[in-house]
Amino acid sequence: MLDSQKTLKWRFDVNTFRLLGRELITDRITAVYELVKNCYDANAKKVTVSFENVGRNAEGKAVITIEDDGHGMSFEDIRDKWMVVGTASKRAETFSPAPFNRRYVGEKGIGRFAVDKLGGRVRIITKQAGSDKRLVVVIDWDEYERLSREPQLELFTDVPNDFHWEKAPVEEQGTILEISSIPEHEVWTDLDIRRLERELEKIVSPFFPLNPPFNIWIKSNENQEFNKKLIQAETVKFSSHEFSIGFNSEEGIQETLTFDKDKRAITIAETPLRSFGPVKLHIFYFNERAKKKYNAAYKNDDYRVDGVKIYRDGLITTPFAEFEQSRDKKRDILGIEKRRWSGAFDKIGTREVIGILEITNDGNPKIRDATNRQDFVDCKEYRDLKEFIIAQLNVLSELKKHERDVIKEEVDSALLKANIEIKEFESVIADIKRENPTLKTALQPLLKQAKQIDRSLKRGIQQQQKERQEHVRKENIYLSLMSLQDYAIHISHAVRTALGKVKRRAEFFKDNFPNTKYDDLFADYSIEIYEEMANLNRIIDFMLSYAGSNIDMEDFNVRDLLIDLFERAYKPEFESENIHVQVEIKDNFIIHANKKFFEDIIENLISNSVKALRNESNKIIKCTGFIKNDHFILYFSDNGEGIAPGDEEKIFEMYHTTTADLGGAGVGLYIVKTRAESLKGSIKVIRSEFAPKGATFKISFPFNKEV
Amino acid sequence: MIEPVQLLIIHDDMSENDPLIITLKERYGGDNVKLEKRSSRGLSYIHNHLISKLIVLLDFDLGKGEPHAPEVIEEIRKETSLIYVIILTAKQFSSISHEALIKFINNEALGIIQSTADIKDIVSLVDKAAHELDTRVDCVLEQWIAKRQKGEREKPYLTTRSGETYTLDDLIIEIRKETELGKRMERGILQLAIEQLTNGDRRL
Repeated sequence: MLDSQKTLKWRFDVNTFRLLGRELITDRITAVYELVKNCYDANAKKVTVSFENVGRNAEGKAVITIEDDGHGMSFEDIRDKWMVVGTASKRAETFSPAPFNRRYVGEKGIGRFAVDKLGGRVRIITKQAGSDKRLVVVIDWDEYERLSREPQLELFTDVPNDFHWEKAPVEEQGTILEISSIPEHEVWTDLDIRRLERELEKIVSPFFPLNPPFNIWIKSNENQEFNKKLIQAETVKFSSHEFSIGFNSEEGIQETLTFDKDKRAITIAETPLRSFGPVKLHIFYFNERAKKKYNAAYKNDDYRVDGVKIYRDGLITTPFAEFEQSRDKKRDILGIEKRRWSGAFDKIGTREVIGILEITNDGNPKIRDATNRQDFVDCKEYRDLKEFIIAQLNVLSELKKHERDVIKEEVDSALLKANIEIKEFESVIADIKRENPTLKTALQPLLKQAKQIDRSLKRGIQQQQKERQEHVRKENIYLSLMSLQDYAIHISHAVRTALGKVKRRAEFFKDNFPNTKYDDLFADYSIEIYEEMANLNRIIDFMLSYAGSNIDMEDFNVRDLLIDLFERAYKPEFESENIHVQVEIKDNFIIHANKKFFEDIIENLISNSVKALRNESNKIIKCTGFIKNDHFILYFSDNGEGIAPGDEEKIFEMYHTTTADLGGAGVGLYIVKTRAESLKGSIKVIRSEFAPKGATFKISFPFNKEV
Repeated sequence: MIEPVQLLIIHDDMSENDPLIITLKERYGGDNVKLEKRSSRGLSYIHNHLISKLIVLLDFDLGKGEPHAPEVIEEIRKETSLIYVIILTAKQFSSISHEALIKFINNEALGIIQSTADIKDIVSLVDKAAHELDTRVDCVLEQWIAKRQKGEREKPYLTTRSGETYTLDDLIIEIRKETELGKRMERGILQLAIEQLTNGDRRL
């Protein structure tokens, strides 16, 4: 017979304890780490992690104890919270009460099962201040294990766990987890304990001590080093540079690093506060020499040099608070390594810096932990913060590049000096020979050798120069490839956008033609389809310019090229559009660069200006160029309709256009920008020379005589 | 008169004469379809039309300095869950970040569609949203109210225990703003409707 109103309930097999404990928590270090985090949540000021007889000759007497002086648990806490799976996520408050104001770090409510990873039996001894007895609960995971092997079904929730009360002084408070029945093969070597120490030392910021404190001690009866050792972040040694930036909230100042080209050093600049709020950053940089020293001292174990970590109110933020033994698996949530070609081309990678970024809950409310604790919540403020961090690293990159240049110069001058010294040596020998003809035979081999060294040195210098050129050539190719990756993303987006436009118009024709009501639209659409196809063609040409030989560099005279473009190639167009052209290129010089790219920049700027001038009666295009320091500066202006305020950056995006009616696809200025960047230059909009009308672009290229 | 469905297209690269816009205007009325190129302005438009029957067609990338679709939808949901949002994108679906997809799902995007899709597919998604708007309690109530005399609509219709009185027009606003009273009303109306339906008297 069928009953209509029956229900079924979930039950948990006793095996569940494995899923929650040893199988979820993959590593013993993470297990201890999780338990220590629980002590933090209990407002402990002091935690002691003790290892007793955990070494090789433990003979089953091994015990791990984690003892804290936190608020302890009542019987109800144990029964209704601690022993209910997943309770922590239901916690209503995010912060513990004053004076602690700690942000709770345990959120999943399963950290407590970490004990199962460590040993088969745990005694929980816990007491709250004010009570005259302490509660002792014994959980015997071995018993669970035994039951799980029994053939009959045993439920996780049906296994009884013993408890009893002991008398205790009223003022005592805290929790002790005493883990025993540790399998004999699970030995804790000195190395394991040291690894634990390294992880624990990251919990609190070394520069922003917690108040009240959160001190962690490690104790071992088998290792003298850990005869009650306070865990403290070791002072960073061997770094080559150390910088610290802060802020002044009242005056709205955020400090930031900048590279001072004149002083050839990093200095601190004051900038307005950012969207993410004020931050402090302490950063250590290890240049090549420092890294070598470091690796020698720490035997290539560079776990500490691991990029930038974020601390909130002195405590490490959750994305970083998880132990990952393998370096390469460490999460790079700030995207430092994700920047293309990190570590190459003078870019700074995570293995070259230690950074401690301090935020506070009050000062940076928008930087919030994501619920999965793998990252922060993605928002504009967080993205700005990431950009800010990357910007600081970019300043270090400039320093790195500068240091490399200095080494290059040193090597060059040393080689040159050696060459001169050999020449001097030769002439001294020749003098001696002249004065003492009898020594001629004896000196002959010496002279021969000196000549040989001189030749080798010259060859060496030549070879070095050749290799340097080769290096620059390769670097240029890599840079082109890098930008190609960016282009591929932009171009596929652009092509799809263009196709979408064409397709919608064609679809409209297909569904509605003929219909006199839409005649105007049909006319518009046919022109738009034609223009969109022309744009697609342009995009493809642009893309194809990367195929083949166009990435080669050549020598060309910039002045000649510009004059050729303005006074010959574009002359007919200027004349038919009635545009007056002023070209003033002050310096006459040759650069080694990609000529085609350079032409692309000028051609697109001209075509952009022609469109901007369409409604102007007295049309002017002006181009001025000169050398300033080690840069070639080009001002390109017109007196056309100008750029709307706020659009100064947008105009360089692909598909941003204000001249769609003239077939402007918004590709031109994108090409200008990417081409300028390929040439290691930059472009920006500055105040128009013809203000209030018109627009002026400032383009700047490094003018490196060596290249 | 019953308030018509309003369509807002937030797209930085679409023109007023785009066939999609023309088609939507034909279908939903020229005055009811609006194009906004800047998402920040789109958001303030939404903010001022919280009590309208609004469908938003949202482009994914909205240019530098403007909030992109994941942020826009998040902002919308901070104010209301009654506006339907459809995402349009030229991106390869596989290149949309997981974070963005999570935001779309958690903030109840009604659909996501490639910008190269057929107009009719986009329109059918909009129709689906419009249908859902029309069958919602507040909208049905509105249709019912629309049939009443103006004077009747402005008369106090309901007095709460705390003594506040509401006209029929007020009640619609309460429901759309998802206030406690609004939610209670909505539940009550649905319960009543179902009771009526199952009450033996099967005439609708």
